Amino acid sequence: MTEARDRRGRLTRGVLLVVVGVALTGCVPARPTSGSAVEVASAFYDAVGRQDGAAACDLLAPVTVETLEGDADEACADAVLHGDVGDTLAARTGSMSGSASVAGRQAQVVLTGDVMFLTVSGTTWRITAAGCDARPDRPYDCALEGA
Amino acid sequence: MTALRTDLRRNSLTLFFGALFVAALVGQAISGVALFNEEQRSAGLDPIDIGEYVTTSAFAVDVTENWQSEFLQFLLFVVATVFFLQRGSPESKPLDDAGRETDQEQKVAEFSTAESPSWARVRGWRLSLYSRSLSLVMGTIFALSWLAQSVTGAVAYSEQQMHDLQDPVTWTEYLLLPDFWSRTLQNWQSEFLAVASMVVLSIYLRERGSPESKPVGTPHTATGVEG
Repeated sequence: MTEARDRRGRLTRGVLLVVVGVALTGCVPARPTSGSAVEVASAFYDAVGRQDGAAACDLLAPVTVETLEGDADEACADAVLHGDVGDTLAARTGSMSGSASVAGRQAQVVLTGDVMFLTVSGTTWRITAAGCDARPDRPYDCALEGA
Repeated sequence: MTALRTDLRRNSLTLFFGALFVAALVGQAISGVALFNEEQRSAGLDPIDIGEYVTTSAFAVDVTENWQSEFLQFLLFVVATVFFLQRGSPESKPLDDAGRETDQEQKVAEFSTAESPSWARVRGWRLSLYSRSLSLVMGTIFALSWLAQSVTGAVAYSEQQMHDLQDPVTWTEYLLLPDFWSRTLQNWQSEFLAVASMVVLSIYLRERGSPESKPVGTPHTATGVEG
């Protein structure tokens, strides 16, 4: 009786150790930080300011690139610098410092001159929307956003 | 070998439900990551693996919102059946037994036996605590699960908000939002319905051999009789 109880006790402790061990040491890849979200947002405006459309587009989420190219009917590297989108973004360059709110795999970066939205893809942040203006009780109105 | 088989058989109820729990949780994680990755791919984003998915707020809030309601259900069932009765139901005590019952009926203090748990044998705080230990532990797990639901729910809600180009919310703001109460109450209503159904249906229906049912030939009016 006592032996059986001891065996059950050892079994329970063993199972608990395995569960806790797996939970603590599980192979979960590190997510990008809120600091790196601000860096990506700043790098985007830095690229727009340098008129480097390709570098700016590298920081966008695929769906945002597709939407931009579809709306502008030209390559992302050109569309991000020209037209209404280009004008709106150019007016906000210099928005280099700010802070980020991160929840799970989404982030909102508030720079001095803009509000941007980002998502995680792989181990990096990608911009889903930029050139955003707040609207009461409605989603932000963004010059550049995915569908 | 025989001793082990006996041991397994004598604990088979816990093992059965433990195995079902693990299988269902794994199934939830597998189907959840598949759904998550469908959305990732449609947005042109990298899929994630199951190890990463089980650390997401989306998975955590789905798990904890169900946990809290299940533990609340059993907490209320344990406590309510002390005071409330249902004529004819095996889930109810006999109709003249409502309440905490006498020390003699509960076999505590001077009425304890040699096999009684040690905390049941002597009057004092240990006996008071042990007399309510089941509801205290169930209540604690309920409270922690509900707290975890609120924290992970706030993150999941903010995540969806930002996905939809809206501002994230704080935890305290989330506690007042319809999303938190909708998730909470949709689980509570189903648990309460299940308990009420069990109490009433077991008056008239039988499951031969189950301690949750009256013996098959027992009259509908018999209360507090378990098979």
